[in-house]
Amino acid sequence: MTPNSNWHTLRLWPREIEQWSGLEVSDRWVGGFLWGVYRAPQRRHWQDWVERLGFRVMTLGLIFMFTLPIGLGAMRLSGSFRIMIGSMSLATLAGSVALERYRVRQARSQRTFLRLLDEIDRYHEVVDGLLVLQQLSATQALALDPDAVHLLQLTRNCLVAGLQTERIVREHQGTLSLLHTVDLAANLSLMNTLDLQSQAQDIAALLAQSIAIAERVQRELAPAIGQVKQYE
Amino acid sequence: MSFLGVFLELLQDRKAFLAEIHDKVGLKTKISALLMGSFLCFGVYGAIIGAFSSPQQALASAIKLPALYLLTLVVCLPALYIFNVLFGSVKSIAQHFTYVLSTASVIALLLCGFAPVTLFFLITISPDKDYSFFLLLNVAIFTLTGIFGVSFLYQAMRPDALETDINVKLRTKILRLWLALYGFVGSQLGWTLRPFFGSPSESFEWFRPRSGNFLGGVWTAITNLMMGAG
Repeated sequence: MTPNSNWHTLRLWPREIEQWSGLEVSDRWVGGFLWGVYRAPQRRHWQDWVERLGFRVMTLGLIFMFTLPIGLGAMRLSGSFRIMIGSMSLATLAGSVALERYRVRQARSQRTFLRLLDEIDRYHEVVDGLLVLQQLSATQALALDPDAVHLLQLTRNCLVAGLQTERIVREHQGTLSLLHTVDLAANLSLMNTLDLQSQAQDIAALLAQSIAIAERVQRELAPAIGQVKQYE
Repeated sequence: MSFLGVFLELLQDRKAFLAEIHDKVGLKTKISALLMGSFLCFGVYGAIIGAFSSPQQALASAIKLPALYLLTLVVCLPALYIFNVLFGSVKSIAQHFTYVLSTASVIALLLCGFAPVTLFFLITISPDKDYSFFLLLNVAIFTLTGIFGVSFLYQAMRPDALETDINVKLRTKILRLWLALYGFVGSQLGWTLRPFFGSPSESFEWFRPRSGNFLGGVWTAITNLMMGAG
């Protein structure tokens, strides 16, 4: 395997996340922007607010358009333009409220998943950082510790296990007997046994961040694992 | 994949796009983006044709044109899905919806491509004298874009030649019949939601009273044009 293909396989791609979690993920949304959950970026810019507002306005416009048959019916019955617009506005309002409630419910049920996505973002930052260091090493004769790639692979496995566990918990509340197949504890103990003496301090810092991600995933999943133990 | 990414993939790599629908990849993201994108494109074109008579008509047509296309899809989709499932299709309703929405998006993008042409004629012709010409020009544009859109859907949804299911031929026939139904429902809904252009000689109205049908309206426009009534 070439170094580049190695880095490629270290990333968690949206299609893989969808496969493991059963949820579609894009840059900002989980499950599509029309009825999905918004993912707030870690560093917020005013453009994010404008983008979000724009999507809200467009969604309102779309709902308003779909209420046209109601307006047509009201117009034919009453002959009044005001009643037509009033009925369409009311229907749009009702539709928006229903959609917002659905979104809130979705956001609640996907809280753990959203945190896992944040961890995946941080993990990608680590991978990107190490990729830059690797590119630098080609010119400055700095060799990357092979253990680093192995450690990242373990972090990746941990995140994948986290996604799978979260899916099981989300989809099968109450029937969690399959969870014992996900060996998170083994992954973490393996990571702890690794020697993290890297040649460069930057690498060490990035790897420490990688471990922190894995630990946070463990902490996030601790309630779910506790739930499973109750069933066992 | 982002909002624009879905549209770019539909335009640039249609094979991959259709393969993803087939594999049920990113359906919700695709539906969201296609629904919103086609709504915006139809809205822009609707505003242009409505601007032929008045700003009020432009606003009304910006709502009515997307409604015409997207409501026709919603009305006709259950028939396509139920008949296909009845005769052996394993595709879900979300996949069916994504396929037909892709068609609507192709039509919407083609209309946006024609928007500068329509805008050019809107600026250069006389609203009082050339109403029928403008009407028929747009009927031609809608027909052309509709044919392209429908052929896209036919290519995308036609059962695979490798499928060995005994109902494959039947499902192809169902698709053809559904396309005819889609055209028929669309033209009648268009007639119900008219005016989209707004006659310059008449005052603005949201909807016209129920009378006649789409083909009768086209025939009247042709005879008016032939007799020089404008």
